[in-house]
Amino acid sequence: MNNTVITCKNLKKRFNDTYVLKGINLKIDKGFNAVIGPNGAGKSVFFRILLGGLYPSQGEARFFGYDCWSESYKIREKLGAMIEDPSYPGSISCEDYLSLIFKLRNIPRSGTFHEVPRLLKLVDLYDEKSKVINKFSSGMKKKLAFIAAIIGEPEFLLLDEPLANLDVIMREKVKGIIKDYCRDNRSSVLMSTHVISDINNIADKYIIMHEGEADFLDDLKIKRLLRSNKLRIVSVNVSLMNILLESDKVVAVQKDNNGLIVEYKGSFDDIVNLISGFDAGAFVEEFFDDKFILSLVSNLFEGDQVKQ
Amino acid sequence: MKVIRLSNNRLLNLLWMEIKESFRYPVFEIIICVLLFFLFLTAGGASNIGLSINSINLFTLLPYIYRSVVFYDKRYLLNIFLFEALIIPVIVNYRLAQAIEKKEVETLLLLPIKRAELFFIKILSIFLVFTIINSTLYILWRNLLMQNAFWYSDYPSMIIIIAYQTLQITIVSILISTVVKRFVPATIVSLLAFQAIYYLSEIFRNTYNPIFYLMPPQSSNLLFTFLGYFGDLPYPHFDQILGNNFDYSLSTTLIFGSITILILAVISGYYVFTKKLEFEKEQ
Repeated sequence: MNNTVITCKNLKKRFNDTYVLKGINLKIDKGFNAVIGPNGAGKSVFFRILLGGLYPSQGEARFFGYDCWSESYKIREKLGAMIEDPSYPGSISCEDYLSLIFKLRNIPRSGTFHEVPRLLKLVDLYDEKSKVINKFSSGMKKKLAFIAAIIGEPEFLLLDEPLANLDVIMREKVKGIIKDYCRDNRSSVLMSTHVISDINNIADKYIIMHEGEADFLDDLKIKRLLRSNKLRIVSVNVSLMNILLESDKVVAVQKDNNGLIVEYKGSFDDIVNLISGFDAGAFVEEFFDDKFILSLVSNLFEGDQVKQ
Repeated sequence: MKVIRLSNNRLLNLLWMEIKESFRYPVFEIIICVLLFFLFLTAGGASNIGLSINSINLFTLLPYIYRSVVFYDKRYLLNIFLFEALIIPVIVNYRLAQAIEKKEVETLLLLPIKRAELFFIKILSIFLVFTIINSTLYILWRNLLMQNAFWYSDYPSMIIIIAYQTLQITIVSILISTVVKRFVPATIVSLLAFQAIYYLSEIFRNTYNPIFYLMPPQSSNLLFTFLGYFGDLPYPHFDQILGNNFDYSLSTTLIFGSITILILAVISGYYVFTKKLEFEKEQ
């Protein structure tokens, strides 16, 4: 039985004179596939090509056997997707927007009536159901994008940074929903993330992207990646730095332009639980400096230069 | 028994959302249409009869002004075009370029919607909104002020002409918006394009008439003659609307020519919308 869902052959994307994707050759099977990579690696461009939002400069991308550009409508019928920074028509409420998606997916009205409140409660948006989307924060928009993607239980979820901009509690909640989604083999997932421990023990396969190239990672490299033991916190709690330094799980704390970089001992989840005890609304992500990522992937793409 | 519920139709729902989106800041459009309404009253007519409309009884004289405008002064039509050509591209570009710039189009294209459906729904919603607002103002005008100004058969034809004119402007604006993709430059390019089209048509006026009448400002005028053929409407003779140099035998060909140009613009707009709708990142 053929399990391959996505096939990319020499997929290239060029903006002006710059190649953002430099010839991706991948076969992605059913199951939970995670895409990891530093900023600017080309993850979002790759996802957009798969969704039919961008036209490949060269090569071919197929999803469910359909061409990602010319037959994207057929793909989107089977697919639930979210992009990194979604933008919505500003004048409608989130309840109306979700109802519209139910109609676009041809789901009967009776299903919509029960499902919309259930989905809104799932991500704590029920109290905001009448609020126009224009007034939503970026985190709320992200939550809306996520529940919009899972409407109708599509057979494949394509999620570009679904956990970014979410607070600690909501991130765990959304992570749980995605886990459940795959657990029953109801759906397959292709998800990109910066927080590698989020997908540890969930993902079946890991794809690393670096400077427009992509390849599968073996278990050894994943383990090395998970030993980074650094995270970044964005918090409004000004005394958090001192509180963290008092903890025996924290090795060092330093400030950077975007928040606090914390080096820790033990597991990522333990340190997240510690932080959530002081500030439940803090934004936490694993932190990898570029040197670390480069050391990991330096051998991976060697000898695979693409002509530009 | 098969029951079809329009409220469940996916495209109608999408269109309804787009129309609601267009009415998000209705004050802007309404002010423009009210200005347009006053333009109707003042364009050309008062000067013809040598009076200021402010100094006379509006209720008795306005029908006469209107008739005189329609029959004796085609500046009335040109002023409407010029005004709409300046303002409607601003609104259309604002709505569309902003939707593209903010990735709203891209977010909608995550859903099972065809690109063609989204393109035509965008055009249709803008076109419907302006037609609805303008038509409402005409009807209000007729019922409140101009009791004797219009013939009943004028309403549908007037609506068709305004809708056609709006469609011409909308299509060109959509073309520009999808290429330029940013609100401010899209609007500036659009305004410049319309001014260029208008002045080009004026240049061609005295050289070769068929080209002159294929230009968007003039092809709207041609519809007056087109509607006259089918409805036997009591419009002024097209010689009075279009000018004395018009070749009568060419009129039907030119009308269909201008409609063909519009169709070609729709096709090219669709092509640009589908092939060039890419969101290039700053590298």
